Amino acid sequence: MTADVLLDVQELQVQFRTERGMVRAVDGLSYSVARGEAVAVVGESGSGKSVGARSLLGLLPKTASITGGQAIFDGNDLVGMPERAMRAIRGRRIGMVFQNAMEAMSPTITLERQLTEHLIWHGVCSKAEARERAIRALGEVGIPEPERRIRMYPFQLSGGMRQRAMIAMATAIEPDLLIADEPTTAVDVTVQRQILELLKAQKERGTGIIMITHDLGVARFFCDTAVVMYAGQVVERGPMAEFIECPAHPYARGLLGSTIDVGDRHRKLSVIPGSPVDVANRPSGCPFRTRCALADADRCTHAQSLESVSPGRVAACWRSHDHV
Amino acid sequence: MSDALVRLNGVSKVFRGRGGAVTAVDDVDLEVRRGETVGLVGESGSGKSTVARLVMGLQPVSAGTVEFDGCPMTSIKGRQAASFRRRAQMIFQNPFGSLLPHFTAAANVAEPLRLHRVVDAAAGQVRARELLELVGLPPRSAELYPHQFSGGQQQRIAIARALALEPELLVCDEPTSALDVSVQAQILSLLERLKDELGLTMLFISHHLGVVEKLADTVAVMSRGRIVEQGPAEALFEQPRHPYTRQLLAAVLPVRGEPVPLPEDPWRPEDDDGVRMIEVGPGHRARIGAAEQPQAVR
Amino acid sequence: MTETDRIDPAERPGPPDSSEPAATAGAAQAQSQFRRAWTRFRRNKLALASLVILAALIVVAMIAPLIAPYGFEEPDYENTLAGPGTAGHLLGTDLLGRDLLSRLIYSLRTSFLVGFGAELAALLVAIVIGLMAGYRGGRAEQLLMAVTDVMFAFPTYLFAVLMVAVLGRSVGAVILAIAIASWVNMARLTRAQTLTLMQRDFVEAARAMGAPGVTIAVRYVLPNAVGPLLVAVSFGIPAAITAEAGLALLGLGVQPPTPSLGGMIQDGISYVTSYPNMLVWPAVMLAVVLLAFTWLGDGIRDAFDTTGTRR
Ligand SMILES: Nc1ncnc2c1ncn2[C@@H]1O[C@H](COP(=O)(O)OP(=O)(O)O)[C@@H](O)[C@H]1O
Ligand SMILES: Nc1ncnc2c1ncn2[C@@H]1O[C@H](COP(=O)(O)OP(=O)(O)O)[C@@H](O)[C@H]1O
Ligand code: SF4
Ligand SMILES: [Mg+2]
Ligand SMILES: [Mg+2]
Repeated sequence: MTADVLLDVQELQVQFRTERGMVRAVDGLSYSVARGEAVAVVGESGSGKSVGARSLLGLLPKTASITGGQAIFDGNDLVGMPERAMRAIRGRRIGMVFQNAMEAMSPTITLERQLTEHLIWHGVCSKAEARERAIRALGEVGIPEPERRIRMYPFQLSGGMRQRAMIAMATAIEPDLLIADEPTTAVDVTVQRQILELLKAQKERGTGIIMITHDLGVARFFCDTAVVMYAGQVVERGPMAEFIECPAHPYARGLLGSTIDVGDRHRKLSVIPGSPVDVANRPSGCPFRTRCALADADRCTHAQSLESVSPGRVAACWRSHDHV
Repeated sequence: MSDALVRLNGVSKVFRGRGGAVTAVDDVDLEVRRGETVGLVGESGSGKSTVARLVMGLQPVSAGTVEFDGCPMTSIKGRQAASFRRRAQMIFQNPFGSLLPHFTAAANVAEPLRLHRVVDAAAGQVRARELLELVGLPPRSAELYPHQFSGGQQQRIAIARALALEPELLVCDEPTSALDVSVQAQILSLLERLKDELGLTMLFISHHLGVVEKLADTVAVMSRGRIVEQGPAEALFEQPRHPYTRQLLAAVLPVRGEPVPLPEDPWRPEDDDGVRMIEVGPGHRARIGAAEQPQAVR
Repeated sequence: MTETDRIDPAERPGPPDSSEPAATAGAAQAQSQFRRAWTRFRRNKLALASLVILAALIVVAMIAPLIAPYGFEEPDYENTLAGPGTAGHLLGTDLLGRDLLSRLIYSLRTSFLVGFGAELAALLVAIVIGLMAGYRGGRAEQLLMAVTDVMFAFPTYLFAVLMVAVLGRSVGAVILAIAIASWVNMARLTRAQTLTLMQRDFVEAARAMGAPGVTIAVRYVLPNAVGPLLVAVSFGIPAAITAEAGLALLGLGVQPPTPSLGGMIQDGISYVTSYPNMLVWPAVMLAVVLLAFTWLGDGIRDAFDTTGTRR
């Protein structure tokens, strides 16, 4: 895995300037993505998944700033990269897929222009060739009659089809890395499955994928590595199979126990008490200690660092060894 | 069978708009018996929320009848309508949106009591606090406003409000779909507890098959306004008979078990045209017509 | 996330909402929309200063007879067209020797009366008709639409001029004229707000709870439109004051000798080259009032802006 690392994120920190002062939305995010690897970033809403991903592409609002860490992509640090250099990477070498396609598409522009413009802009191919590629890409994501549909506007497509068109848009240029932020959250299960199959094909072609999701089923189906975030911090990271088999961090265990599968009729739900932590009021020490059943007043009030729990796995809880 | 609290007979709902007519609900027969939880599951746009609104009498039916406790709703007028309102209550997907933003939590919960003049204002406040406690909110939350709560807490307030009038029927339309999984688990546990403690009758709607399976005694699967299969939860999930139900189950990505491969040839709603509902097991019906033979599945 | 994206019942299973307000940590304080707005408003120093200045001016206008050194039509034949600083006449006097400071204080009174009177009258009508039009449609809506068409065909200003011509130039008549000319826009705003708010889930929830239409409109919908209406009023009052001044310049303002800012400006214009202070004081006062209202309105708008969740 280390041989073919595409992206290496180390101790990334992002702050927001708000009415109530500085908020550390992401506070120490580390992971790496190799070619053909899919990394799942999971966690509850507000845990910093999107902010962490957007900061890689310089897509943060003006009130945000990266205050620490690095993100080495192909030998260059994305953090602090000048906008010009970033533009050459964004959309060309790193593609992005959003939860809501409308966010990525201009409502007043036809699919053709949305899909070909950046191909031409990045100088990948000529206009005619771009059109051909776009039609092919639409066909590949399972949009029927791509020649006709390419002349349509985004609002003329159904939600699921729009989502697929956006994937076509992000992948037509064959990026090295694809960041997908909840790409299937807004679609039905059957469409979700189709979209994941599409992304799987992309992955098999060697694209590295960062899959941001709150759905552990999706993460497990699609990804090789799990990164669990809580309150802006990574609490557990490791191979997906082992994580699902026996999560090490109490929060990760709670999350897994709360997830409902078909066939769970008689399984007693394990419930994490309390509400997801607001990063603006993150408790000192272990951020999970206000909800953790195992918390004690002594060690948990100290900051927890990511420690190895088994080869390739780390967790930020002094008790995690007990569980692996 | 005789103990049906709600019964839909051949209910249809057609919306006519600029883009032509949309049949949101198409000839639906459904029954919710006292003390039972009926789950309604289907993809978005399949007509689940419309069924909920028809059951609540928030929209008139285009065809068929909705009976509440043996009484057709179309004939409920005036005073009777007010008393019906007390007997059926609803909770929604978006808890923040469904609460009155300018009322405190306690005022939100007390509002139905005030509307129906059940108790005076002071007693309403006391009752509201009891209800907030019942749904697991701390006493100090009574005087806070909805925006000061997390999504899960807001849904708890909405549940407390729906319970204020001690309704016989509780309609839940995607009550956990806007919530995080950890909070979803909390709310489902709460509803399960309330169901046991208060003997609630529920129509529980969700697009999430696992959630419906967890809570419902009987399940109906909807597609394009039609019910394609319905029956006891256990039977339906273990022995799905309709191709659409199987397809839906296959598309779900489990965290624990292995995912099922998708069927080669996906089912389309048109495949059902002209096909009748038939009995496939005790209380288990599927729209697979007479032609298809019962066979082992999964 | 958006809160006004309803109507479409084919709503997708929602994502966990990351714009969710924070969990109530610790002993949070009850925060009504007004308290929240006030907290935000206070941070806007310009708006706060405007509020203080306006409050002071309103008090001055209200107790005008107590603090004005002279009556507004009390002539001092010894000192006609006196300059500022003349003994006994801080700001000078006019052609008839009337004390400019006293007239300024009284005209502030008239202008506020016209501004607040006209806007409040317009607001009252607008709320009733706008709410009915938005909530029920039907006749109220037809009426509103018809009147709107007429008003669009007619410049508002011209309309006010005609009204004064018909009603006369008493303070009451001017208030009525301006109110009639300006309620339509406010009613349209109320209607638009109502329509937007009706898409919110709490309206359907209220119907499911068994709330009658009037309760929903008045008790649930209207209070949530208060912010935008307050903003409209705070921009409407200076507009009404300006309208009165405009009428005065045409000789159609409040009947002299009752002074108004517009009337004083009109008087001053005739002597602008020889006795500019007759124009300067009312003009400066008008500018201060208008500016303060504008800043106040901006402040209120920002304070009530709930479209984006602020953290
Ligand atoms: N525009 C913003 N202004 C201020 N804070 C923000 C903004 N966007 C996000 N945040 C903060 O960052 C945290 C993480 O947000 P996000 O990455 O969107 O969470 P996730 O994607 O995991 O749901 C939020 O809890 C919030 O406090
Ligand atoms: N008020 C309405 N006007 C027009 N069409 C509607 C209305 N309500 C629902 N529909 C349509 O009816 C169908 C079913 O919607 P709905 O009951 O909301 O489905 P679900 O809740 O299963 O997602 C959709 O196609 C939707 O567009
Ligand atoms: S460090 Fe303590 S509070 Fe944090 S997860 Fe571990 S046991 Fe729980
Ligand atoms: Mg996100
Ligand atoms: Mg729905």
